[in-house]
Amino acid sequence: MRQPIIEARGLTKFYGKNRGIIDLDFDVSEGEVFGYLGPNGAGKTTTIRTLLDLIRPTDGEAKVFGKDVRLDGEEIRADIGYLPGELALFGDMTGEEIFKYLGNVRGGLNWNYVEELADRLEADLSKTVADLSSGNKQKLGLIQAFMNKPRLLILDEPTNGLDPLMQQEFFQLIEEARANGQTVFASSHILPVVERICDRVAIIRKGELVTVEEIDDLKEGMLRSIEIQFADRPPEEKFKELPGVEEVNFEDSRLRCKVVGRLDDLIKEAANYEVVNVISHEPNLEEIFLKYYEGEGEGVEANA
Amino acid sequence: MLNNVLLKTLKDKRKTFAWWSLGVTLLVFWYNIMFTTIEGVDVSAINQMMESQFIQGLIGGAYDLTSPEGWLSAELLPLLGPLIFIVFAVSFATSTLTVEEEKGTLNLLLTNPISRLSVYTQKFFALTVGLFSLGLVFWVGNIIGTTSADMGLSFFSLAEVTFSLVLLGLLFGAFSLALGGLTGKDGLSKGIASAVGIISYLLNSMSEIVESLEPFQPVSVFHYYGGGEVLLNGIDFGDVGILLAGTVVLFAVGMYGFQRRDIGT
Repeated sequence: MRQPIIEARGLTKFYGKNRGIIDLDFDVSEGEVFGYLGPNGAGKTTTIRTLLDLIRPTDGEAKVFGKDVRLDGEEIRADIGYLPGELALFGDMTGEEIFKYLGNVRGGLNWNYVEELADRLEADLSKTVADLSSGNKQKLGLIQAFMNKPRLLILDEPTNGLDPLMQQEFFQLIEEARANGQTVFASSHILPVVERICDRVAIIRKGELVTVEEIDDLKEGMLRSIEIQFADRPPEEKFKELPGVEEVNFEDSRLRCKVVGRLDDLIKEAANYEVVNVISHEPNLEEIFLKYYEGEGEGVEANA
Repeated sequence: MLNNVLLKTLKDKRKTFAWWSLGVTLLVFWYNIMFTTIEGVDVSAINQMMESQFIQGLIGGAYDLTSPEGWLSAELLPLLGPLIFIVFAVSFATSTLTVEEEKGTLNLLLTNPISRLSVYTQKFFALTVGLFSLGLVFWVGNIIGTTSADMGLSFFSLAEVTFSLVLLGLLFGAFSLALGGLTGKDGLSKGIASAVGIISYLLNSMSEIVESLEPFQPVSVFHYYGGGEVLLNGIDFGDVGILLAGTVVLFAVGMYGFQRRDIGT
């Protein structure tokens, strides 16, 4: 078994009486790209800040690289690249000044690599941070996280403010990190982002871990809204009979329905008729949460 | 070249410091030059006023305004000097810690392989360097002023009184840094440190005139600063020791709090 890079055991944090995270248990193994998914305020940032020893757990413990985050924080952070969710860079400095300063604090920096990253992300290192747009600040944040080629990347909402082109470049960076054997822990409230980059995903809601699953398994159980525009209206009952297809509803020759798991049966049935257009709506987080709260694993069972 | 947190902190403060230096130099120079205006003036009225216990209380003693030492001890040393050094120290200390924490840049710094002990210590040393630099400016300003006004004050005595101002500032700087270390709250750190400064000043000066307050005088930090007394009689090493000891204790308390608490929540 591969060495766990992150281990959370009963990790709990309360801010006074307010809930942060409750009794989290999960492992992230070496080389894994791990997604941490949840709506805003679910406790994603709290978890991350605990791993970095910025905040101290009320109960439980967290280990990174097999070491306690409280006792060996300094040593651990030497191998972590971190992108904060709310990035605050020194406003009066340029990107170049910030990276050189942080490089000195860290005790070393490969400047060529910084320039390569800046080139790829089209980041301007010569402008003062205060003059940059939020998207351009985010690029500096990403460079800052990647520049030391750390063993573990902790990215809090990494695609915030990035345009689609830069998102692609970011996905590419993640692929390279994966190829290098680096471990990635990325939080997001955007499902497609997590879906695109992660092997495994933990879902957190109201401070509690709902599930930890392979991304493929998660998708299996998802309820997806599908719209199919036919040339002529096909018989409705054919579609109502299909397993995993629910809420079948025809509006003239347009079919609207919800599908649990794979689309195979629906598509094969639809292929018997002339199809004009197919629209697949990404399942949103709330729907996934609803599924988990209505009955755990129900969708998966229905599909099996 | 920014090698570490200390240099970075000092660099951040260089513009603010330049303005402070200009202001302090002008003020000190002007104050010394004003001494020449008192010559030839009938000062008996002023000296009579000096006999009022209330005035003595406010400025910390009865001074002969026609002497150079008395002139400086009447306003610059008991009131303006401490005000300058305390305000500078409190705003310096909080801007390096609580302001950075509220902006979120402290957060970014601490996610690097650097301990809180190191960050806090470097911030404290930056404060110390800043205060001694301001002390140098204050001292040089006085030398230029007193020389221009031909007051014949000892440069060494001026250095001694400047040193005790630096120590007073350092104590209040360490106090607001400690409040920041314990709470992370900027307004609170500035507010409480300033309030304690004012109360401390009032307690010390009022206890000169209000007998019932006298037992509490040793509680006031100003009691150990000396002001005009230092200029007249030289520095008291016991007082220096107490100011330094207080600073060390506050440093330790602030560090303890900073090590234990959550950052930027």
